[in-house]
Amino acid sequence: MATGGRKLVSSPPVFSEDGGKLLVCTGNTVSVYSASTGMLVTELEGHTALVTSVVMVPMGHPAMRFSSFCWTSSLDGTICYWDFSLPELIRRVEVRLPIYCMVIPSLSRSGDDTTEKPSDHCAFISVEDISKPNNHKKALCGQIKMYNLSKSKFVGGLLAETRKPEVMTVSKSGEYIGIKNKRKLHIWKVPVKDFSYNEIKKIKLHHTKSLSTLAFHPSERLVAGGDVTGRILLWKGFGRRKFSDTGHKFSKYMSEDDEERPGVRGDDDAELSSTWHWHPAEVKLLSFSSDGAYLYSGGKEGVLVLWQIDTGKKKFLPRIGSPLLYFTHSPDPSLACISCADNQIQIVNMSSMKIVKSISGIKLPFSFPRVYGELFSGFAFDHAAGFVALRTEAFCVQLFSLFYDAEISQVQVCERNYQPVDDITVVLSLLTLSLDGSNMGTVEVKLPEEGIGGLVCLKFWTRGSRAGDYSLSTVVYEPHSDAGISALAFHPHKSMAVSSSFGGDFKIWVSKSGEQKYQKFQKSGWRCQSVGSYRKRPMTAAAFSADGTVLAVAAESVVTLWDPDTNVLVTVIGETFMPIVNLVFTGDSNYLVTASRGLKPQLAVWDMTRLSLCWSYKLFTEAVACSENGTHFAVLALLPTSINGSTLQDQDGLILLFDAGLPNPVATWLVRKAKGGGLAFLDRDPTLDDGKVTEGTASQLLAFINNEHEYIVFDPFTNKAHRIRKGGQDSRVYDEKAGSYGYTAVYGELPRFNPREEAAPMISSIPSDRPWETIFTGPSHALAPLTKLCSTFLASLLERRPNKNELAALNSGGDL
Amino acid sequence: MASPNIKDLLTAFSPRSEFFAISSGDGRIKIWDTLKGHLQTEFSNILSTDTTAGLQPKLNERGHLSLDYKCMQWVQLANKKKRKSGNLLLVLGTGTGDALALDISSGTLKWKVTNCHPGTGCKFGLFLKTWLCLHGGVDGIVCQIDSSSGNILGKFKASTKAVSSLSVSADGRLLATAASQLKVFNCSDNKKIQKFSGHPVGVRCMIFSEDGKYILSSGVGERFSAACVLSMEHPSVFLTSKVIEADNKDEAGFCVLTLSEIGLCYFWHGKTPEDLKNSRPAKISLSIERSIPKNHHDICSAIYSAKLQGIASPASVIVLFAYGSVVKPLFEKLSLEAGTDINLTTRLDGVLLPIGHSYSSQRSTSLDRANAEDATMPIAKLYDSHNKKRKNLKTDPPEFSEHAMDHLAVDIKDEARHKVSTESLEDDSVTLCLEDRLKSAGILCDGDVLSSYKPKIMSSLTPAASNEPHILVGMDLPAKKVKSIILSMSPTDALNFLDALMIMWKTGLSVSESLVLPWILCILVNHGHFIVSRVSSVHMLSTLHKMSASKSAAVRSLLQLSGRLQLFTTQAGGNTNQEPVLDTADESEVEDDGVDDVIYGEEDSTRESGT
Repeated sequence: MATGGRKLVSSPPVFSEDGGKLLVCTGNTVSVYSASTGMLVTELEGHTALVTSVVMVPMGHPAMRFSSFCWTSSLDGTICYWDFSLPELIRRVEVRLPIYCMVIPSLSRSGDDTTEKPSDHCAFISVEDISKPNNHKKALCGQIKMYNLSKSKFVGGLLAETRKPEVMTVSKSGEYIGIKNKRKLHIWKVPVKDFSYNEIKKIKLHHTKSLSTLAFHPSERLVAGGDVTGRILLWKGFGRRKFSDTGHKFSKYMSEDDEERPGVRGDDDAELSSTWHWHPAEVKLLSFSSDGAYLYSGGKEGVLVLWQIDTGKKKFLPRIGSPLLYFTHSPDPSLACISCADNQIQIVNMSSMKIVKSISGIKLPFSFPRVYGELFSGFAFDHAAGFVALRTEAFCVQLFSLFYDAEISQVQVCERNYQPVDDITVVLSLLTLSLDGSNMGTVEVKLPEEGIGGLVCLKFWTRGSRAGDYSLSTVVYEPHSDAGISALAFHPHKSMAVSSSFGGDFKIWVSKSGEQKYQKFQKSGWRCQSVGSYRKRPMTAAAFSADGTVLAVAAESVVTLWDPDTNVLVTVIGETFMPIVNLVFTGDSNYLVTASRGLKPQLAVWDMTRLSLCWSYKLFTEAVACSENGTHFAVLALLPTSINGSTLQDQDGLILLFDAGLPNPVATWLVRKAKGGGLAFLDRDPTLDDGKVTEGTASQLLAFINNEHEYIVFDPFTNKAHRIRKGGQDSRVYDEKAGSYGYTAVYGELPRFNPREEAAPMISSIPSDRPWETIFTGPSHALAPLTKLCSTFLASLLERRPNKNELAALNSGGDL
Repeated sequence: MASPNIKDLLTAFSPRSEFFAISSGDGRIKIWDTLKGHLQTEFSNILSTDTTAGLQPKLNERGHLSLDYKCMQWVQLANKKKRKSGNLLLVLGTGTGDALALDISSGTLKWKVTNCHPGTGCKFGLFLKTWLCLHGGVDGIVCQIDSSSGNILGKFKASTKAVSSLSVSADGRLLATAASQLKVFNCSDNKKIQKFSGHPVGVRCMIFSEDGKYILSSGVGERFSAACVLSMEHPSVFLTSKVIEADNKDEAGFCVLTLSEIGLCYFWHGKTPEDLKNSRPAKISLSIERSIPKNHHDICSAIYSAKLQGIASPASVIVLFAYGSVVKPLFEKLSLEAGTDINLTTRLDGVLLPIGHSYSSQRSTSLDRANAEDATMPIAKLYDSHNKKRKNLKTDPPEFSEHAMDHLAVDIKDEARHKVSTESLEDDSVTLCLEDRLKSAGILCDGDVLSSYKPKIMSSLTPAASNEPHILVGMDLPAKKVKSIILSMSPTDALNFLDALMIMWKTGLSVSESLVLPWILCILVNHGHFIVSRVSSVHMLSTLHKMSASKSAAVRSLLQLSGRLQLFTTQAGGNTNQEPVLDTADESEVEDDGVDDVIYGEEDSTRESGT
């Protein structure tokens, strides 16, 4: 089993004290990368939810030089102390509130002898108050508290309350802590020595726009804030009245109190405020260089700007290619890293301003307009090699190896230069890979401007000798006149593809190479072999059968079956309630699976020998995957919102594994973030296994990728009876649960009374919490035997409200 | 053309074959990422990097030709986390008798053992997966090193001569060393178990089979070579063709992959080692084409390394190859089949080439809107056993034929309502003509005219009406209304309704056949797909077919009778008075026949494709 696709940029990374390692929060774990090679060295596993911050413990005296320690905080409400060179968990502190950010000011003090009592640190944590009801928006859920890590208790009261938990910034000296809060900056001064709660002082700095980030100068009393309009504000000498009451150091300023303070608003406690403006959009990152001479800033436009503080002169590091999120210094002044929004961490040599290495993860989902209402989830799978192809914001297709959790390549599919601030004019609306991965098909849609100029473009790509190396073979402009393409599918063996359009026809494309007839064209490429239509109905889905002899094209609610070579309509089967959006042949068995959505979603299995409906469920299917050989197929279904209450945590999806002839699912798994997810059967990579490859269908693995592009690859057949181990690496949003209890509930032999039967309504796909209303509907042959239905019916009456304990047991059981 | 010689190259695939290490004898080690085909890391000048001194290990510096490496091996530490690349070590043995381990992920020197074979160079090393790593020195001493820390665990004298090759069995119990003699030791107590001789010269390459029963070896400089295949009890020697360097592995089916000095790869397959020996000439299955332009002497290409990754089927294996030029190797996974030669072609992109020899990429074709001009149009082929009847419809596109059927149905219903006897559908052109004639004669009037005499109750027709089918049917609605009602029904309702109608027709209760049949017809025309797709409806359709067939059996004679009557009346009347035709008693039969044909089309297609 493999998991991966983790987000590298959920929180800022941290360099180790020797600068050789980079600690990145990746979901539930902290991944330690080598800064020199960019490769994963080790992982810290122990948190059960998203890790939100890492605080490095500075190197003390030489004896501690070779060990490396850090504190991490997580949304699971714990703070952990690690030795990451081994790696080993040393201590765990339970806070019991989800921690969104943690700073430990006493550890930031570099050069200080922190060895006196390393445990006597006080952490400032930004937590979410889960006791407050979050149903009204104005509730102040974010709190900033202090927590003594050695005594494991909170110190003092609340420092601040905000709408949502805020990210704290600490100055290098550990003296100041700041947060942004709408149009204000809150800055606290923390006593350097002899910490006590009463000595904390606070000031506010005001601005006219909402602030987005802030940074403290390493040595001077200077704070920089960036706002949503792209301005950078610098407050010099902040807090000289309030913070310097002890006096002697700043007493000389007291006389100047009456002088004008340019740029400072109202009664703010600052000497001078100046504004720089270069960024056209929100400033996302601000950071002072370690010597204090420069300020780095960046934002959506993907350019790192280096400001000379004294003069305000700028230097740029352009073409990073994606919005910037964080900037992290290393102890080595020439090395820093930038976290980009496309899930990449760029390690930059600051002296030459060049990117030396980059750590790249799977591309993250992004939003784009849908023109023709395609329901493409955005994933295409290379089943043989175990790759997933997904579109990126930069008009590319990223090929990502699911087994190795590594990017293979990126193919630029649209001839566009990507600028993060530009409006989207071209959308990659469809992406398909052939079964062996040798061909790729893409459909791009140029968005119409004010209703004019929309253009659909179909492109065929062929692979070179290396995996992921695709070159453009054929471009077809307006393949279906003005109509959008609804589906694109490749023949399993031949160089043949079918594209179906909403305009009411489908076209079969063949590659010209190898055909004597077309040698006169002098170039190989794809051409249209035949056109077909059925009653001028929009064609909504298309698929080839596993042996390639039958082409199925869905014309809204019926499925037309064609001979792809002769273009003969063989027969028509149907019909479903709503237009079919997905069409899959199950491997080498005689079944066809159709999925339709809409008001009456339906998952139907058709028997091709009898041309009749075999069974169907009222399920909202997100994705359907079939194993190449064998009769199994897997369905990713969304749970109806009515039963997706708090009882299921945030699990909104269900993976059901079916044997095509039987309506009883073979296995069931509950998953999170299923909407917009993808599902595929992959061939097993022989090198990754323990050598125990079993025959037949068991040689295929099932891959599930959720809408955050985190994925899991597992064997759906062997672990049937057991709980699938929850991937230690996956993050809080993705939680794989074995749901073997699910399927036994309805269709298994009559179970004894069991609170887990609560899952029954979802398995039987009834979108209501009152199953007795709907459980007996549907075609009679699709219903289970009466004895079983009755048990479900009675059980559903009995346990509409499982009590809290049972629920807790259920949830915790699933989390193991 | 310079003959490539890969004798001096050191290559190794990592255990999961994600990395490929190559050292070309200049003291640099390059680690390639086999997935991306990119250079991952380059190690040079390793000895100057002190992991504790600098903040950054100095990689990628153009180092001096510092070391000459003699052997190279990947070691995966701590197997519990399979996916981690963090525990991957590259262990190298140098000519001066040192051993060093590089941590690939952090790019640092993990440990170094100096002078484990003082004075001489250690020649070959092979390491277990777990903790043990062994070195065979030129002095004949085998040295065990803990591969995680680099501590020397023990040494023993294996032979008096230099150990030229060394191998450990997969389970770690056996150790084989080869000088000119091949000796097998027990790893635990370093006792010699067996001794084989057969190679006149030193053994260059040697490998245990996975089950530990066989050792494959190949000698230095032998034109023939490898595969001293010995069972442990019965030493025997046999030879294969010109292979000098071998990289062997086997499976249950016994596959052997060898790589020759000049960069060719061979693959044997046999059921047993004896089989392998006997079937040798036939089983050579891979030859390599070197597609490098002949005029470039400096670029030599060869297969550098190959790794058996898995068995696809009994006689075929999946092999990962590294080939191409030393500057930029290419990686390709291929499926080899016994007896089939494969030519690999190398592309020269990515290699710096003289201008004019850059790889010309194929140009893409572009098609515009008129992309389907020479495309074939669809052929509708509805399978029909009554081909004679439907000949004229056969080549039509489906929408047209459906339309025609619709048309037909409407005609039939109109006629049925007015109790007009028509001819059967065998020649529907006649039907149309007759209808026209009837219309022109004023006998046949539009349904709407007729409906004006009927009570208007359409507004009350809701799906609830399906509960009372005999009432609905009994109302004798015009065809248009019937159609609209049927269309307003959901497919499942229509199916239930059809069920009820069937019962009515069968039992003949409450309504006459002439009223029921238009409804059945309309349902079949409009909801045919749905009904056909239901398993439960198959039985019903066959009943329908039987009933209509039995009724139509009488049609022929009745038609004759009708024709005669018509003749009589025209002769008797002499004028164009057709009134008497209406009084014939066979209207329901005739109209049965008409309905019948449409039904045939529907259900026959089901049965046809079902078989």
